[in-house]
Amino acid sequence: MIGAHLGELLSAYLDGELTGDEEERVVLHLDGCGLCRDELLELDAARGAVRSLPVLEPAGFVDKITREMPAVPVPITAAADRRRSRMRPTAWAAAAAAALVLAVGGVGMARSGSGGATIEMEEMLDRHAVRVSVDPGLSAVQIVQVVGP
Amino acid sequence: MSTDDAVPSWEEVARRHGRKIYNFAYRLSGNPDDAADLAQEVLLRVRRGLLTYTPGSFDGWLWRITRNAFLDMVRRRQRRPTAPLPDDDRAVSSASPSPDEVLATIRLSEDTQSALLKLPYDFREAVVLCDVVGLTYEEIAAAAEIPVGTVRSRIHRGRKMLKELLG
Repeated sequence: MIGAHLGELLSAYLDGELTGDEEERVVLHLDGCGLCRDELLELDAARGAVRSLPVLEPAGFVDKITREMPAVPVPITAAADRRRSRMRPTAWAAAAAAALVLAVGGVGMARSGSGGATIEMEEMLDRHAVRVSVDPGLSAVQIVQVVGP
Repeated sequence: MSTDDAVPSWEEVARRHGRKIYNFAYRLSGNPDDAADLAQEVLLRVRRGLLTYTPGSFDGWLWRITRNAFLDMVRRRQRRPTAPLPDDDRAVSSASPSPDEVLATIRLSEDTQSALLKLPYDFREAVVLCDVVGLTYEEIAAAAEIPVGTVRSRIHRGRKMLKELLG
């Protein structure tokens, strides 16, 4: 007797999100149920497909934004209010957006020789160029693939 | 994921989480412009929020802000998340000469991204927070303000739908 099929316990099993009792039940069930073993493989494939998506980041994104902003939050005082008034959200957003608008031509040079990462980046840029050609209001955001999580 | 007593600086948050925030938005929307806009908006909200932040589950706080900012952006634009551009062989073949296996990898990524965008939002969000951002079920529950059991169910059903779409 292997009991009811495992259903959503299988995804939680893959993610290490089961309690000890649940995990024991899953392992025992899988030993005797080919249907659940097949489903586990399918779920693992879908999970792996998403987890293997490349990690993307606009080039220099974090560095540029952090350069535009105060390094630490400031206490709420009259002086701080004055400082904040000089860095209103709209001004900050405009500055950050400007920092992200990069010359597409420089991207390949900056990342040349990075193999597969360059291909992903170039493809993204090609696609983005198409978008911009359709909608000139879009800003040109430089995309690179980075390694690791 | 940590529960820190110390309040991080805005700069630390940007460096530690900026890329994940960008990827969260990109995988949910399929649009690099939306992703960049979202990341900027989130970091702006974080900067403001840190002034009054009470130490606790920082990741829960951060991803709640991120999720709400994304939903606000979608509502503001009053349009559905943008599907990726249709397969464009010209775009791929115009890239510098590429090994077949690299192109195959890119195609797989496109297929997966396309399938993700076909999932109903709640399922897509749960899958992305789990498999792209790397949050635990408990952290996803805190971010989305739903029970952990619902998180488990959404991730499972989302993956089953993905499997069907990917064939």
